[in-house]
Amino acid sequence: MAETVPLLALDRVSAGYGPTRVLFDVSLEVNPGETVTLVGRNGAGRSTLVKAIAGRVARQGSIRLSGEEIGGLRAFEVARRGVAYVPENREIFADLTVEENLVLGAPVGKERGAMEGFAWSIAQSYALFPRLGERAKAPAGVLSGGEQQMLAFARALMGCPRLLLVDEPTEGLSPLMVQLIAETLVTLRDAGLSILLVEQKLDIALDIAARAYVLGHGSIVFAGSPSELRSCESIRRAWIEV
Amino acid sequence: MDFIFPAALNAISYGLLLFMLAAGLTLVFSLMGVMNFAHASLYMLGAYFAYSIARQAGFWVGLVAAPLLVAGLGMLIERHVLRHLHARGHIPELLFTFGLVLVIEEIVKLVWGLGAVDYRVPPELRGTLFEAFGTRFPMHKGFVILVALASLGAIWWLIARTRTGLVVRAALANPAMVESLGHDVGRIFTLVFGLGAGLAGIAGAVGGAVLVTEPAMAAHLGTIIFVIVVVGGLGSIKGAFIASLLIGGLESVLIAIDVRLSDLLMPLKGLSSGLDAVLALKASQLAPILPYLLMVAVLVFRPRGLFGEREV
Repeated sequence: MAETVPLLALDRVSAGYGPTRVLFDVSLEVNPGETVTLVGRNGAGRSTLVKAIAGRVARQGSIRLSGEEIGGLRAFEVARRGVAYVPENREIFADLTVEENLVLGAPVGKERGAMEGFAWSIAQSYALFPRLGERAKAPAGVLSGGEQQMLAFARALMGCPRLLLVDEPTEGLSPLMVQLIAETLVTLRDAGLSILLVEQKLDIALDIAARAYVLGHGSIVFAGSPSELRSCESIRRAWIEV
Repeated sequence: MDFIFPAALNAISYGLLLFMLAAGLTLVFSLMGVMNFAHASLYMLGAYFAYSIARQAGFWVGLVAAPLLVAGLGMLIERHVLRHLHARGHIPELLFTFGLVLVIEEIVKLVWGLGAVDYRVPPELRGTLFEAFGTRFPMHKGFVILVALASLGAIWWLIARTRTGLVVRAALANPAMVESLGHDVGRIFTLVFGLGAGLAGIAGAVGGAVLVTEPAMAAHLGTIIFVIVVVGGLGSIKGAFIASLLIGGLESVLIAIDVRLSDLLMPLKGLSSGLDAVLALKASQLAPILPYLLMVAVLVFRPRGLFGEREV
């Protein structure tokens, strides 16, 4: 049987900001249709790793998407190859309407690139998040934190991605919104979308993901299944729990 | 009413010409975060290009072709120089655009000479558009208003009503996120710089014909444009619009009214000989320094400008 090529494969990736290195020789994989979570303490480098994959920070090492090297590409070129990004602080366009934010997420023509990924539309966004449909013409800046997170998800999906990078989606949200976002991630996972999830709330991350990596001081210190991580108290104490 | 009506029309005509320049400068500043000192030089090139083309192919061809040439030149400057300097911070960009002012001025002098060139509106624009309150309003000023409104309307439509404009508006707010959505922000920068340069080119092709086309025209209007951008508020299109009409209006009114300061400030007369010398000035003599007085007042009382969000 032919070996499956990972959708995303990082091989000894280092990254940082200016002269400051944050990541050191990180290697990880996400297989097609798989949800993988990346956990660790604040400052461990989780967000930097996601930004490095998305092409937002300078990085060294190899980052391959379905075997194609994307480590040297700019952010828009990475996005056009089907990597969508839900950033930590949502980064919605406050002065534009909800619908305009969604339209921006759907590159057309040359912007889209050759690869087709997870099919998505504005109508599906409103079906998944009815609240966005109700506020379609409202400026995105007036949305609540939870609604802005819905918009950040829907906007990322508008790019019909092959891989969704999600950075701290539940941060600062009410328990009700946290539950909604968790359910959304499960829906997307079950629909076959590949997801790399950075999540501070360990229970949510391990419930959703098929595999987990733990990042500590910019390096991978654990790789395994969620059940293995749950049972490995030493790793949790040393690198996750505060 | 005898002087207010023509002064108002002059104010609108001149103010809109100023706004065509200020709008491009503001747009480029908003996106790239850097003042393009050479913006008025592009205005001057628009006038000279239009003059040269008009001599060969007529005024109307020059009016269309010159702004396109200036827009293309602007895009080349952004693509091949400014983009590379952008990564090194704002100082190299400022120094480059400042140097460009000097280079363009010298090139203009070498190619077209030190004096003014004979670039005028065609005969069909030299008549009277209408007469009201005993004053004739010349057709060429109406033409300036028409061209300014048409080109600004086209830019507004592009920015506010098209998908490209949507990407530009988003890039003004957060270029990194726009790039993460698959849009080439570098191309957006080039496009916006080209738009700004094109607007300056149109203003030059029109302004050069109705005012004067000479090597000093960039220096003259350039300083006023910077005053407008500062008074209106850095990065604010609305502020640039209000400030353009305000400065254009004040200058036009001061030139139109035939009074001395002593007529307006009677109680101050005779207090001192130095003050009397100032009061003997005509209002029209104050018109050229008025924009700078306004800028000083704004910087003292409202450093952000009328509608700006950041201090100068």
